[in-house]
Amino acid sequence: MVSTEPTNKGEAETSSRSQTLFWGLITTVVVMYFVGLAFLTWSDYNRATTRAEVELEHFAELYEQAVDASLSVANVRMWGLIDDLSTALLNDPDQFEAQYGALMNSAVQSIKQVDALVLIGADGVVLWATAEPLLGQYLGDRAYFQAASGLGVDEYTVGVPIVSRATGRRLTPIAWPLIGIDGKVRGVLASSLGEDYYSQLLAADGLQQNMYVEVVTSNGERAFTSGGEIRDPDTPVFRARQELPALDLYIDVTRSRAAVMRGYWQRTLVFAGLATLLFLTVINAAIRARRQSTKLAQALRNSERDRERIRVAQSEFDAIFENVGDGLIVYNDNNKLHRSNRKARELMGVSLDIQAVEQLRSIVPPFSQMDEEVAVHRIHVRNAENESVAVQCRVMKMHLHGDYIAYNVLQDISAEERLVAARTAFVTSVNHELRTPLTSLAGSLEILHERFGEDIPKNASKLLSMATRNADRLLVLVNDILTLQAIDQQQLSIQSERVSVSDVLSEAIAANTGYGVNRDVQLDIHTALEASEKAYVQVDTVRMQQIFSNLISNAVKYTPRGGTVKIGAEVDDDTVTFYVCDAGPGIPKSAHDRMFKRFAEPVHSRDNQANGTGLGLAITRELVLRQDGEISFKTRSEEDGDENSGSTFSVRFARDDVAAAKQGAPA
Amino acid sequence: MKVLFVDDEDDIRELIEFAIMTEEDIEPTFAASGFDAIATMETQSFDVIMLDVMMPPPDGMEVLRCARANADLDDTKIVMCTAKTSAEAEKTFRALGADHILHKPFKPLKLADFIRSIV
Repeated sequence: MVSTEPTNKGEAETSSRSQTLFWGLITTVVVMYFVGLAFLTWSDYNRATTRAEVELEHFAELYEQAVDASLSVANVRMWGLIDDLSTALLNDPDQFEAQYGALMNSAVQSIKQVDALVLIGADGVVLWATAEPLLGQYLGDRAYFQAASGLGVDEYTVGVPIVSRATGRRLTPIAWPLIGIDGKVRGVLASSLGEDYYSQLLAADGLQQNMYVEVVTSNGERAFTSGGEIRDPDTPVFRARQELPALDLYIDVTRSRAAVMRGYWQRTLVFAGLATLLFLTVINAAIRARRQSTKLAQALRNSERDRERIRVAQSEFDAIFENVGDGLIVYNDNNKLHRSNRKARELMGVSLDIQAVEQLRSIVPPFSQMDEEVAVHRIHVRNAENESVAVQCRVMKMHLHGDYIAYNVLQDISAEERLVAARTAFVTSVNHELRTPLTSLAGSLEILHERFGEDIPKNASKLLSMATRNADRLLVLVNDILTLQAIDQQQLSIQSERVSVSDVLSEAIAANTGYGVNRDVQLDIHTALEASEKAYVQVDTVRMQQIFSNLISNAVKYTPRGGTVKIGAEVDDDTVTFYVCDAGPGIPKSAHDRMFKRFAEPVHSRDNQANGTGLGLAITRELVLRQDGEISFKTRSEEDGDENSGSTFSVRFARDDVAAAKQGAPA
Repeated sequence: MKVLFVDDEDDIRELIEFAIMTEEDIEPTFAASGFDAIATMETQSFDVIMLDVMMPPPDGMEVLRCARANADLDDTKIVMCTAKTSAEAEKTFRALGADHILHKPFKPLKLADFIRSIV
């Protein structure tokens, strides 16, 4: 875990550097994008303005050509007409009308450029006119008249545009000289180029929206203006000027810059908007992708770290599991899980997990019969050296991740068992070694007393009985220890037989009278003989003698000289209760708990305490319990301040009358 | 009646001899080892054999096996004298053909009564 710290730091540094790099890149891209966009917009703007100017120029040129061509056609016609009029008499208007009126009218009709025609004589008086009121008027002072008068053949002049007094329309006077054969000017044919004329031509050329066309003289007077509305002269415009040499006029084509550029701006805005939208979408996607990838990388790193942690924990666990002092074997029902540690394999004498599991399964109960309580089995297994090893196996069925597993803890208890066996062997042999000489000793003393008692001096006899008593005491001790050992090893032999209560009692008295005689204590049977003869119990008579021997010897020991120990049995419908009642000092309450314990602290003070092994009651209790009986006591203790002190020990067994009924009268 | 006492302890044999000296109906024979006992059983027959269990080999169990293998001793009562009080041991003895088990230590003076009671 410690080793991962620097890696983390390094990772963080790498991460922050790549973060900076990423944002630097994004910023650069954004800047480049806007620079590019600005450049594109700018160059498009340039192109758009150039195009607008070129368009205007082109249009102006086109218009100029149209006007020029139209005028040329008109001139040719007019010159034809002038030729026709070369011989006409120009002094009488009526005669002229009569002679050339039709020609003049047809000329006006056929030459569409000319919608009005005035013939002015050399004197300046109108000789013929399409407009009646002009007839006879003097127009000799007109500039176009004077200009035309000075012209030669096939020439014409255009005047300064004027506003017609009659119609209010703008007119551009045009005049052709009428030159006679002699080369002198005989008159002037005058007409005008009306706004209609220009308009028609303009319509033919295709006037575009927002385009203003003006025909002006060199000094700025307007001959024609297209479009109705008057534009603010300060409005920025695109402008193209084309000279109209035939008429000595200029064509001005203008277009409002705003109008022209509106399209451009719209286009640019749409383009820039769409591009920016697209660009931002892409950038956004990039940033999101970056974030996602950062998160992903972080998650990957985290999961890597977690995996590492898990791996470490796993290996720690494995090491602990493998090296724990007890053998561990874990498996489930279908053997998908089978694990064991070294100790377990060692105990089983195998090298593989599956072998250990299989071997154990053959010893412990099947999986289906296990429950979740801990079950302890003592098993013997053969280890690798083929030695039998005693193993205590604690089996537990555990619920783990929806499955049940058997969890087995194996403990090598062979050492423990060897210890127990050694102790048993030791106790047995010590007892045997003690008992053999004791048997000889007690036996010889007994024979000595029986056979030669009368020959022994009185003082020596005292010593003899002391020796006998102590030999007996030693024998009792050795027997008690052996009995306890048998009890501990569950080896106590109980041979129950059916005996009457009275037989049990009389045997008890007969076997234990000696205790009483020695201490001048009387033993009394307190039982209705008839009842005790009819009642039977199922007991081991030898063990019953042991029980009574212990209880009576205790009772005698504590009863004062000359006192009485009452022995008896109470018989009721189901049970028989034997009792031994003494008139001793009683048992203080403080000692009640330890009455049946082995080698318990003596109940009474040394003066009052009888000699004993401290095992008697413990053995008695075991003997009673082994015969399905119960033992208890009641006591009144001097020490606790009770009067009429004494103790009563009771042993209760179930009556065995059912068998008696079956077998008939007892023998 | 003829009784064979088998015990490797000299004192015990002497004690028994002392105790039953006065019993006129009991004719005792003594064997000091398992070998001794087996040899004696080959040549004589007995009404009762009192057999100590704990002896140097062959021990009481071995002698018991030999005795029960001998058809001449079919009517002989065999009593195992043992300090072992375990039920298991008693079961084993009875399975091998022992008739009675006498727990040690026994009172020598009561031996004669015991022998008479089982014959």
